[in-house]
Amino acid sequence: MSAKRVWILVASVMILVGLTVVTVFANPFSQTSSEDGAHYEEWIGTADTVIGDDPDEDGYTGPVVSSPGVAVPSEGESDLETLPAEPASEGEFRPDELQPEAPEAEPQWSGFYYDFSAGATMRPRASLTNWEYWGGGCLYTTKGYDLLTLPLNLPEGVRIDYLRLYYYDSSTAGNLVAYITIYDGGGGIADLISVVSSGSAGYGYVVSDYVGQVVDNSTYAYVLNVGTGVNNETNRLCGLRVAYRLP
Amino acid sequence: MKKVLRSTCRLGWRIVLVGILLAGLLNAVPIGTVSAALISYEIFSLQIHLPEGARIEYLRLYFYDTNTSHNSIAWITTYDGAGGYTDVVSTQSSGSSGYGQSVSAYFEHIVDNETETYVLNWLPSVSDASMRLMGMRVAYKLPDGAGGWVGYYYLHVAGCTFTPRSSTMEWRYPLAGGVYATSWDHFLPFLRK
Repeated sequence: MSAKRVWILVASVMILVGLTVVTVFANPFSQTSSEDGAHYEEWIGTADTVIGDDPDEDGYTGPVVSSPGVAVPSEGESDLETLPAEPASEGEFRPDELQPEAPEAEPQWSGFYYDFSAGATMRPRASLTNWEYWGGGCLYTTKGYDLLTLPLNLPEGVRIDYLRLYYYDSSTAGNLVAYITIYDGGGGIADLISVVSSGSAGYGYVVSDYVGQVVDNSTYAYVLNVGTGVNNETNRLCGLRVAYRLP
Repeated sequence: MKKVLRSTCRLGWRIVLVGILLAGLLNAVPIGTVSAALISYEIFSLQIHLPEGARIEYLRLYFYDTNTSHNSIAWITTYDGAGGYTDVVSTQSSGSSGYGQSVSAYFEHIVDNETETYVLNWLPSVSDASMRLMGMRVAYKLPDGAGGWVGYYYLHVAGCTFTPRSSTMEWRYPLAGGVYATSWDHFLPFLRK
């Protein structure tokens, strides 16, 4: 064997050994925590430890701002006709429905209950959008403009009062925006509320205006939607919390 | 000597060319043609959580269907974590006139969260915007504590919250809370994300 071939062989063996060593030390199958490999920063924001200082908490006595509506909708005008599904059967009750009872007087509402979802559990509405996990339950988008979405399943008849957005926002180019949106399955859509992150100081949360919508699971599907504003780690979605009351 | 060198050079170029062709084929054929042919059998799914002891009675499918040759199918499926599964009930889209809804036949299934996990599945059958999942609604009753049942209660989810079971599947948002399967970019493997 010529000296040239020997050197090629030696170089190949060394590359293989090097790759093996790197793989063994990296041990890609050794993840012991859901947070392994996540990025951390020294400052992880301020937890909301004071109960009663925000309108979506029991004990709050400050002013309550009712929502004037959603300034920027979660989607534009639909290019599709919005038709009532099976219009011929409107007004009839299906086998999976009961005749609705007459509404009672305004019920007494309980204290706050919460539906709290981590940002990392949300997924884009279309596969054109990519995302990355950051750490601490937060994620950010890296490509695309589709909203991130998550079903919101609440008990029938409860009253949705507030939406709280937990975020990391250090971007001066865009803000995160979160919505509660309802769909009727026949092309109808309405944003119940929206809330926008503010500033560029990093971790924070923002509470929406008062919503006051009673959940009607018979007619609507409830969905949490979030737009990240920019496609990099300067804006991260860390969580959504819906405050509701029981009748 | 020159002749040998020239033929060696030609052989080298041939190897490079064949390598490039093989790489192109390996990249394009399996991801593009084969996947696209099988892709309509992909299923979209969503995990659901129902109260223990509830009695599921109906599944309602909200759809948009303008496809004249195929219908989409929805299931409630349970899995036992050991490879076992049961399709509890199914219903499918019908017609080709656009928005519609279909209700399953009556059935009874008592929710048992101790041994089963519950999933909503949807098979689009076609990979384009002519078939869309707009939502599903599960109708169930709760025990009244005296041997009877109260309800109905509903678990109502939008189509846009479903995602495919396999990452080889692409999906798009057609507005109005829906979702549909798509596969056109599988033919462009070099441009895939």
